Amino acid sequence: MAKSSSSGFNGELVHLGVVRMRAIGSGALLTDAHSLDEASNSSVLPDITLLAATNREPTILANFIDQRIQLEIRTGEIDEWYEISKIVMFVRPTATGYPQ
Amino acid sequence: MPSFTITIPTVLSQGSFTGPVGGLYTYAVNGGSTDFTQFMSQSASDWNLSGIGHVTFDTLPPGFNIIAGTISWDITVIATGATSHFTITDPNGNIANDTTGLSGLTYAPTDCNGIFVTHAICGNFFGDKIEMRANLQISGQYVIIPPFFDYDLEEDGENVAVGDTITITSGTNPATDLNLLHLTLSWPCGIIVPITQTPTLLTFLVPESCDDAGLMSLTATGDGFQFSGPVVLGTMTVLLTNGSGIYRLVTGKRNDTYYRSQRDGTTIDIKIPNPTAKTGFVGG
Repeated sequence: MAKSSSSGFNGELVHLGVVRMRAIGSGALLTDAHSLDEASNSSVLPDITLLAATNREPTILANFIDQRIQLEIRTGEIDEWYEISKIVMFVRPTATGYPQ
Repeated sequence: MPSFTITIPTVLSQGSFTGPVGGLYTYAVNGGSTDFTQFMSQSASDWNLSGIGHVTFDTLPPGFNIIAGTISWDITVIATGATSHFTITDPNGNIANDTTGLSGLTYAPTDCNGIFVTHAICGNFFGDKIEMRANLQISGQYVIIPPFFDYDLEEDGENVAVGDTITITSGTNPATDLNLLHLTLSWPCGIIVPITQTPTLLTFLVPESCDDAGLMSLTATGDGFQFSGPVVLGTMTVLLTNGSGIYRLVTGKRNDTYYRSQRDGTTIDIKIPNPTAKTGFVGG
């Protein structure tokens, strides 16, 4: 039996459904999800409108499936800034792996 | 190839015209009882339109189109037994015949240049002389259809920078191609001095004063040769060129500051290219 990885997954396809983060700043926070080597990408994550002070941790919906998923965060306009202290990515396995 | 519409002053957009055309023609035939045919011809290219300054049909301003017209005449035939007929032929071969003889003929020319009016008196008349007086006149309505002038602004919609050459080209048809020799170019960020200006080619360099000017509309002002007033030929985005500086990290600074290329000590703030962070990978 294969040994599980430290993350609890072992090559399964996982589905990224929700991202929640503690973020402050100014402007629009743009987010994307990528696979390994950015071979597959998702840009359907909605933007987050940043505030310098907020009591909310915005939750954004996602819909991205791959074996390994990375979240990219950026701003795109001059004088925008962000500060992120926590990111929670909600994922769950959906398949045991790609076809052999 | 882009083109633009010239705005014609409203007063000329539609109206009527009338005037003596061809003047008074008199001719006489002497003789007794005989069959004869006498012709009188007049080219419409000499006819003048009143109210817009004696513009002849063969030098109509751009867009001038006659939509309806009447060619009329007032003749007097001093004879008996003779009949009078007019025939109008336009350059497209359209023929209108007057069969009543003496009053006039409603006719909408499709192309007034080269209209040929023929008057024939024929018959078997009795008397010493037949004398005919004909006063040809054309009247009707016209419209000014805004003409289009084609040109090509090669950098239209593109990003340019100080020192770049902007090129405008055009064809040689005076009716449909913009004559670049009769334009004055301008835009908000500085004076445009053409390097080359011929009827078919106009070039200039983006001046230093336009550095980082952003989206600029290039405006051409006509001198009345083809049109008068300003029209927009296109837009370009003038970018910052040759910005320089010593990179210094400043706490809390949210943009980059460059010195401008004019070496006058002025600076410009530009955005930091998409500051990005990435998480680690989740999943198996």
